[in-house]
Amino acid sequence: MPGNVIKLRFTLNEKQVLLQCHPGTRLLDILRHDFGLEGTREGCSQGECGACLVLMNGLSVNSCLVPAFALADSEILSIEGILSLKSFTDIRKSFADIQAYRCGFCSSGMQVALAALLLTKREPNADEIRRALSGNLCACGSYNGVVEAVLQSSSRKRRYGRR
Amino acid sequence: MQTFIHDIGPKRALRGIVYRSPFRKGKITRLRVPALPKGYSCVQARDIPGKSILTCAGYSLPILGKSEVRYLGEPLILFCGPDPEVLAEICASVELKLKEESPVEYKDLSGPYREGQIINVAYGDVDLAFNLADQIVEGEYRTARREHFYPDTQGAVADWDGKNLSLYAATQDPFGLRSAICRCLDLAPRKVRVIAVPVGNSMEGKLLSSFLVAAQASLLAYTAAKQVVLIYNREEDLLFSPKSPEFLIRQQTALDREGGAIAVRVQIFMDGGCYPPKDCEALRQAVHSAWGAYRVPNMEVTGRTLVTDFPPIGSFRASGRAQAIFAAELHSSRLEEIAQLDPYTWKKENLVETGRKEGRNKGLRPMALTVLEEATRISDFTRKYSAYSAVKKRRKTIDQAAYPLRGIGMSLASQDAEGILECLHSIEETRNTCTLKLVLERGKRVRIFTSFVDCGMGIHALFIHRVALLLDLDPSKISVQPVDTQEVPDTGPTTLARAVTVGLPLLEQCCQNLQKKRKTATAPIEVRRSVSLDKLRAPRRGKDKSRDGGAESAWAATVVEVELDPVSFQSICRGVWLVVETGTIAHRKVTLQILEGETLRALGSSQLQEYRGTTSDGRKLCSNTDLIPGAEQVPEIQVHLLETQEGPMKGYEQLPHLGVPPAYAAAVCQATGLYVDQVPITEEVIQQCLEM
Repeated sequence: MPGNVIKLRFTLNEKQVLLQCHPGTRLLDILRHDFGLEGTREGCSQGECGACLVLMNGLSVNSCLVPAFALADSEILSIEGILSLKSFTDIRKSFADIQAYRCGFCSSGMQVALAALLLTKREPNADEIRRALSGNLCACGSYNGVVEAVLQSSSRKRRYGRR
Repeated sequence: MQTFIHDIGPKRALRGIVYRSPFRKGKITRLRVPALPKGYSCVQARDIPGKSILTCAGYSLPILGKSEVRYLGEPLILFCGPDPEVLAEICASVELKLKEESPVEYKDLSGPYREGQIINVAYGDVDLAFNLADQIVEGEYRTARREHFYPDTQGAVADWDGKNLSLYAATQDPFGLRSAICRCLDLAPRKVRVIAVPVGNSMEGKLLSSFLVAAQASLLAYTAAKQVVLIYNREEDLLFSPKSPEFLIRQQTALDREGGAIAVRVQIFMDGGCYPPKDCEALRQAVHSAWGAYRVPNMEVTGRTLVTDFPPIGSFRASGRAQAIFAAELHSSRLEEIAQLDPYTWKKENLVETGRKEGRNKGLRPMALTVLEEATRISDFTRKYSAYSAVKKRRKTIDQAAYPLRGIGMSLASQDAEGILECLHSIEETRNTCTLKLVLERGKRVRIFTSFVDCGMGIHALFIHRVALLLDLDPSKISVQPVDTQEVPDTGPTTLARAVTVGLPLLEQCCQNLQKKRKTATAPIEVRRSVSLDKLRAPRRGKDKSRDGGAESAWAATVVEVELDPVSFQSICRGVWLVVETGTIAHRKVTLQILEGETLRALGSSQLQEYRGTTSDGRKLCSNTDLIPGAEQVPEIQVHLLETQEGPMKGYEQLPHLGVPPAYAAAVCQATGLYVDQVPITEEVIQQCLEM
């Protein structure tokens, strides 16, 4: 990309990173090309499908819409970072179960959206889960399966007292 | 985590780009390529060593335009090189001059067009019946072009080492693609290897389009003698890749004094795009489904493909049949009104009778009636229909409604096994055999070798659970071999219908054979089974009188309930009830998941915005949120599976696409009291109907 290059320091998956890039470079491209984190997918490229969701300072954002200059001193958690967190083990297992019936393209974005929800609410109800997924599009129409999986995982936690 | 085509491009590979025509139509008078920097290559139509036309599932289009431009965005030159920005600059400096011609718009399909294929089907004396008719009911129904919206855009990675070509492609038909590449590069099949990468849910959008992008990547790799990555961006994919065709269907029905249909005349116009297929399966399906599941003694159907200047058309789930059933069902709802019967009663009285010889739907009554009755029962259709009709009668105009407008609609449709096989057969006449292989390894592990890719349709899950059940193994011990043309046999192109009607029986035969061999041999044991499509088609041609003629058709009845805001006409779907005949169910959970997902997609295409590629000035008119419903838009979906113990599992994935749009339209018609005659039905469409 022509033009100036900026130096950035931010936290990516709980590690401090330093990067030189054009200020307009998309976070999506930074993750995929500069850091090889290909779990974040490029879907619509216009912030509508949620395939490229990441957590930025604890909030879910479409990384295709986040320019590099907005990253300074921020905390980014991509799907790779989320999957390594122990608190999301149950969700990861639930997704593996329903994965067999879907193409899996939207999975990472959906898991990020759910992670953002579960950070604020440990036992969400079906409506809250649907609302959290409202920015994610699934071509296989698997929303009901995902909602069910999250509810089941919450009820497992309740039953076994794991919080 | 799945690895898609966008994830596998090596960093050192060259990047490809397509130079596309900025004009809609004309003869090329000058096409000048600028001087290329070192390390950059280009390919034009004249550089293609073999055949420059790609064919898939009966549809065809050129890899690159040569002397003329037929649509906006037609590929003309391919470039590859290390830097995408330099490639973009090269594209911007291509000089294209052409003698422009005025394009044929597609807004009114019945206008003066060049006709392509024409199909006629007739029986009885239609003219006489219309002369004797007491009343003639006419209707004109439109269905829009549909966008596949697969989540992963088209792409391919090709590597030519001077002798052999390796191709990573997101395709539904790896062996078909290999044949196409061999013809394009004039290479022997053993020199081309296709490795199919996982495909996002594609609605059959990864057939012809995947061949095109893979052929382009292969040409670039062949020319540059390097590895080339060619991935379309979302915009070029949305605007220029083949779509499902637009249809206009005119229905005329002659009624007797009691309101019974004595003759039907149907005219079907299909937008064939700029490269219309010579033998179009979608048109044939539309013609044969023109009067749905109903009885009529005299019938005449004419189907026409029209040549327009819209991007090429391609395969789409239930293409042709869905549009014809939409028109037939919506037209029948008008006949119900004239006969003053509710939809359930009218449908029941007019269903094709057992043993009658009208059309292809002979002998279908019992199961059709069962699904109809079940759908009526679980949705409480009769009570709701009467209640909403009473509200509609009390309300003189729509403006008087201060509360949400409610309506409920019902439809009946079948997915014809013969139609599926015809469609599969026409995909490539020379590949008439399907083969599947099973290997039992040490530790009781089983590997399934097939060329079916999954595409989010649950095919692999279905196969794994079937093998687990038949061989009494744990599903975790069964795996599907990654699809590579050097390793797996040719099971044909991937569609769920084919996987179920052709693949599952082969798999079951393999399992039986493996069980026998297990008694005498030790692992590893390999079994392989093949079937010729001709053999499969033969009994379906009606020779076997002992079987019900409709035993291999899968029936579904759909009920949709909607609620509309009386001011904005924004609609909320309150529920969808789908009753499906499935044959012997291989795996209930997978079947339910598939049908629920397909129902949601069908609902999206019924109520969300019409896909319009571009306006004349090249503006994009819709985005992907207009095409797929989101999590908050999911209504209550109840899918009931009617399992018939005898007979194999049936293809069923088309059924929601056949049943949901007409049921949704009928529900909107009841809610608003308007005659809505097109799909998708947006707020604007209802507003237009109101103003008419």
